[in-house]
Amino acid sequence: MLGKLIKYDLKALCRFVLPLFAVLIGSSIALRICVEIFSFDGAGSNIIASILVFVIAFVYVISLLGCGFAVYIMIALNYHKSLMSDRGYFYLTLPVTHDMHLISKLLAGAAVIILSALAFVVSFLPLFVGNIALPDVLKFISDGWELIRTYMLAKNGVLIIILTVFVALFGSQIVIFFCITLGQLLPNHRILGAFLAFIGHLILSRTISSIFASIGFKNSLIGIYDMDILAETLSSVLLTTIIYYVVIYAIEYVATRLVLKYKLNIE
Amino acid sequence: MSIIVEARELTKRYGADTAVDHLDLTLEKGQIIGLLGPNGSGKTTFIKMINGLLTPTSGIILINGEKPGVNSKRITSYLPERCALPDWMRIDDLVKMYCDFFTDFNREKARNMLADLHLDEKKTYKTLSKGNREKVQLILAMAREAELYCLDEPIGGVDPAARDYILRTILQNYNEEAAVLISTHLIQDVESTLDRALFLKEGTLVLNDTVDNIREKRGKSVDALFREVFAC
Repeated sequence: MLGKLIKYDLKALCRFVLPLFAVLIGSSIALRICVEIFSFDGAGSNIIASILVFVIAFVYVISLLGCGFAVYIMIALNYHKSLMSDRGYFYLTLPVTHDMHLISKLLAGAAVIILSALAFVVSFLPLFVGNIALPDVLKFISDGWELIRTYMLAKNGVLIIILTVFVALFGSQIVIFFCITLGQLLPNHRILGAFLAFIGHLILSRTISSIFASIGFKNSLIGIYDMDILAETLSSVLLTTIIYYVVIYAIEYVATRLVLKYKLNIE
Repeated sequence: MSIIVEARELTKRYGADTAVDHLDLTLEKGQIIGLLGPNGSGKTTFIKMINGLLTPTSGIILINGEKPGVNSKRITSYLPERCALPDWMRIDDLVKMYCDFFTDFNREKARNMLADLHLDEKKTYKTLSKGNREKVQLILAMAREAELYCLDEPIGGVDPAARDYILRTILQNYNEEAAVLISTHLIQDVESTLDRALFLKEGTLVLNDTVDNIREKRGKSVDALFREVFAC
């Protein structure tokens, strides 16, 4: 059943985000073609060509930003429409558990986030291929990775990477689901309720993390001038921060599940 | 006949308002039951609790001996009072989706019913008229071989011709071993199809009797009794 739920969640999400990815990559290709066709050397520039390039560049930038925001908006809308609006009358009477609904939405959302990241990277290729040498790009990536590995992943590198992927793919989605679900507890002010839940999440999580950070920072100052100690300290701070957020998201997941199970109140 | 729905002291409150008030009730299989009452009498709230869409404030509700959950949803076919299907999907995709999720769904039966209505399965659900959307939803609900059908206001808001179609579809397609719970305030239209009538007034059960008993013992039609009980 989980596979079937994921299939339908992916369909619901992809019908919005795939056209956006197509526009992103298409506008990137179009931009490159235009730049290749028209020469912008000042005197010989054609005004129509300039406007055309400007419009395509504008579409590209908007869809680039859209890839980041629209994906999360679609994830939120899909969750709200499937479980909290009229469609909830159908989806919530399917013979599946609340966990399955949540996991399905998280996995489908994660797939779309990964797709958006890929679309983001692919959209750069038409713009830079031929302009930047591939070995230079690879060297840049490899140097960056070496820096991260040396200073941030000095200790528990694998664990940090796994948890970071978890937080990046699922954490933000869990917060969205949690806020929307809490919002439905205020029957006449669901959006306001979701917004207040989000503010509450921000205040609580940031306050607690600030308290921990201020305590931890005192101790980490000792020996900070030593590069090995600095690397180890950075790794520890990173790991602690990520674990902290994993715990927050786990609590919010459980709270979402409990509200769905015991306090569900769709209109 | 075996019990399919059992409610004990079932209560649902919304703040200070009580929608369902200490309801004690059992429904048996093999009957068509009318859940009758004016607007705001608690019919939809009761049906939502059967389907696990609302959590009771107190009391208990059991479907086939279990609390609403995965097992009860497997055997309950629910027709909500509003269009609840994903409106961006085509009708044939909706049929496929029902096939995917409900093992008791009879695809052939659904396709035959759709063909009777001359509905193009390639059409998107949202492009259909409101009446046709309700009919598609009804067809999908009735194409299941469920043990309990919960039909919430299936004839509310449609013209008399569509009402006839809907009632005919229900009668021709329900599993005779099952219980069919029809919530409505349009008594005259459903009276001839009912085996049992439940009157809900302000969340309280004020009558639970067979239609035959109502006619024989009280010498009235269900509609006449309804008008008497709920007279303003």
